Amino acid sequence: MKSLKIFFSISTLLVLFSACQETPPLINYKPSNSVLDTTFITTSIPAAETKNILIEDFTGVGCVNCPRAHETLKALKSSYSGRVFSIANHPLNATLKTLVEPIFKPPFVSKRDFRTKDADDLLTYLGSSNSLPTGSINRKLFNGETKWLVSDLSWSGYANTELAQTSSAVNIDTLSIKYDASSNELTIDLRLVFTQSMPDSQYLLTVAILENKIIDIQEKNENGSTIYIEDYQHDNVLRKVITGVYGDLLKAKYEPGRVFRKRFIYKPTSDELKNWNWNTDNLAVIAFVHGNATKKDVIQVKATYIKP
Amino acid sequence: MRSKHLLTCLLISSSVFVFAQNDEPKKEDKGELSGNFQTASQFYVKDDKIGATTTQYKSELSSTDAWLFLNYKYSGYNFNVRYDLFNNSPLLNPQEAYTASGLGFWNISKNINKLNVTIGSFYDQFGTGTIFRSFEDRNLGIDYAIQGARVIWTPNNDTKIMAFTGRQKYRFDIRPEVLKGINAERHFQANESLGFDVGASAVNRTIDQTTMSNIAAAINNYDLKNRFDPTYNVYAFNAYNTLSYKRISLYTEYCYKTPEAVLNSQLDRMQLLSGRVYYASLSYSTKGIGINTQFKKIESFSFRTSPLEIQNLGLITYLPSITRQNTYRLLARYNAVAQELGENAAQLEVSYKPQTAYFKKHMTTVNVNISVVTGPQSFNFDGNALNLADFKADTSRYFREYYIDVSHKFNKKFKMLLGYQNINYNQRLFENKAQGTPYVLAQCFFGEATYKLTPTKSIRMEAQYLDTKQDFGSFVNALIEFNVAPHYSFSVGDMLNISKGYLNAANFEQVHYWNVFGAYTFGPTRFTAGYIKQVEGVNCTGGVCRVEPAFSGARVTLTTNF
Repeated sequence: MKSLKIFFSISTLLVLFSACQETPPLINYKPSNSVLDTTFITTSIPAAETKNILIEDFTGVGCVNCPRAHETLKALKSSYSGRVFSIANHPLNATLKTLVEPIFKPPFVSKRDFRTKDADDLLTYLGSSNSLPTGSINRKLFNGETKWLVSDLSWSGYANTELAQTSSAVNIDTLSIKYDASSNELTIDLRLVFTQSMPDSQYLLTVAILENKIIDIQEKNENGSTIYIEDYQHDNVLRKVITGVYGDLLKAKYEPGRVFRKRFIYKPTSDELKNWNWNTDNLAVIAFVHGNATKKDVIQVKATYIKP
Repeated sequence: MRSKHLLTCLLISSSVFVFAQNDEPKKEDKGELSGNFQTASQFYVKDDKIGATTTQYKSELSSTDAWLFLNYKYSGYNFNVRYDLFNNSPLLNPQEAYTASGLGFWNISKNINKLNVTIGSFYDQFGTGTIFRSFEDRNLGIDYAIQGARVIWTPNNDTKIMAFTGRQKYRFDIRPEVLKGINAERHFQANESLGFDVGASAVNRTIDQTTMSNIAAAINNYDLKNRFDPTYNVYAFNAYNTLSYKRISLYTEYCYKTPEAVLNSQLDRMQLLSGRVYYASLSYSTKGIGINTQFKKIESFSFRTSPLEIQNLGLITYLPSITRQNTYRLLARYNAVAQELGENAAQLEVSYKPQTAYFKKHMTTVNVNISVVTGPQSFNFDGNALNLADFKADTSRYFREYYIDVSHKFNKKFKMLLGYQNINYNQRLFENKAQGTPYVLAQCFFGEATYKLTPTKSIRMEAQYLDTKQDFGSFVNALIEFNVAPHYSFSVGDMLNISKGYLNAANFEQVHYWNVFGAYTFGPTRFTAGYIKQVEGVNCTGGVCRVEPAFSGARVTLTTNF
């Protein structure tokens, strides 16, 4: 009886306190891709730019309702010309596997795999989701919401709320991307100027490479049944976050006239080049300034295309 | 929300059952209902001179807190429910006017033979609480209740095994991090004079994805060399024993915590650190004398629901200060808040009652207390490494107190207490003051006298003089209290800043912190009203402290039990 009790106690302890080794969250141990990083104060403070908004769309080629979200994005971009930017994140996520993995249902077969670890890390960072489509509007935690990711059915309403703010606290007054075919290197130049004082806050810069006009297969819900669109155009597909996935901290006091100048050089690995099989003419760079941790709000965003 | 409804239904159904039995001729078990009610209202009168300028002085002008606790026992079941109310309250955060009300605590428990099962909120602790303590402290606006499930198994009178899982309460919400723990205690009696109470526990905390994303985001902002992999899970273990031999009692406890992200406020970043606590307490008592010594060593033992929580938020660990808990107003001005990142602390308490006929007749008592707290790297009482006479010379010395009081009952009507306290206090460390803020070297003379006018009427007077050239300088505090037993008590007091210190040298002004107070007690009910001016300072209860802003205004309280 005594040995049974000891066995029971030890078993309970083992059950309660043993488990597999955990997988840590993404910590970026790689040195920055930044080759120029400087900050100073300019006396000629520019007028505030029009504030743009960022919609981070978490999507998948096997997600039948995702084209509905893409339509919402198109409509918003059309209504607010030049003020709405988006990223199509295809997360490399085991739970969402059936929605995001390349389609292999002959004769319908995907040509490319859009999934990235970066997109999955961002999905976790913004609150995780077991279903798609979902997305974040300006990384804002809206009243009544418990996470930054909201259903695509709410995007228009929240986007309109965010677009009501017209003046940006920071200008992204230079943003350029160049591609050197001989070295396969992308060079991104960026200049930020704060137009307002932003005390008691911490702001970060995220820069990412996107690819447009990729023609590949997409599942879609049409009148309750699934169809396969073979010539679907995938835009703003996230290829790589050049900065840390959660952004690089802008280290200085945020005051009117505060300038940050950055230059990033990124050379994709041979595996990345092979997997992406990208058309460099369709590459774009997106840059946005945002908060951190519990207040992640995006305060300005811009994108530039190699060939608009 | 569903759980609240469940409880309401259970309470209502129980009540219906009780009422339904009223017509029965037999004496049925109707259960037993008991409870208590407490409320405090404050009315704010702005006073720039003492710094009473928080939001309540500008906008809300008044605040009320209230708690109604009900306990219903029926047929082995135990139902507890507490309704909390905060209206424009500064209690939970002195800088905020917090308004919310609702069920703050509820549980249902049942004894099934040797098993006790609790579902809902509960308070508990393992050992001294270093690896887990769940408790409420209303004075500091703290409620660390765990909401979850707890099982206590008592196979015999000498053995107790407890296990729980749940999440810590935060205001009317529950924190996302999951806690689970197990504790076993057993008593062994070797012979008539030698006994052991042995215990061991383990606690696990798991961080949720969203919180971990925030932690990872913060770490990714650090310089490359300072980045590390944070852990979702942290495990804390302890083992403890109380050895009782005749008049001697020795308690020892060792705690260990696996590495996790810990916020180092001095570096302003997180670090991956494991933690340890060593604690020992030795006490001896015999006729006329009681001695207690305590020692505690803390090595980066920060244990919270998340490393992003600061101050007294999300605490799982309970690390009380190993220094004297003073009650007189000026003696309690400087408190050595336990340093979770590391400290060494020791305390000696002696209570002596001379056994000669004269002193026994006059109930003479002498209390002596010495406590020292130093940094984690150096701890030496031999005086070679440290210069005890020159505290300022040693920056690792955090706190030191010498205390003595003597009380003597002169006759049936008159008794008196006199005492002296000498304090060295690292204000920069404990109050996060600017670099260059000097150590506080303070001494305090104090006394209290009680005179019985009649069997029911008495006058009590107390006075303290605090002498220091640092902080806000020297103060005197005096209070006179008139008691008419068993119903009334009135007092009037004043605290006066009589000379300037380091912090107010530039703008010193004599300020009176006066107060008038009255209390009326009828049975289990007590009503108090007072007009108070209270200086800004660190308020501590047990191991938890917080900086409280100055108060100026009226305070009315009501407490009752039923």
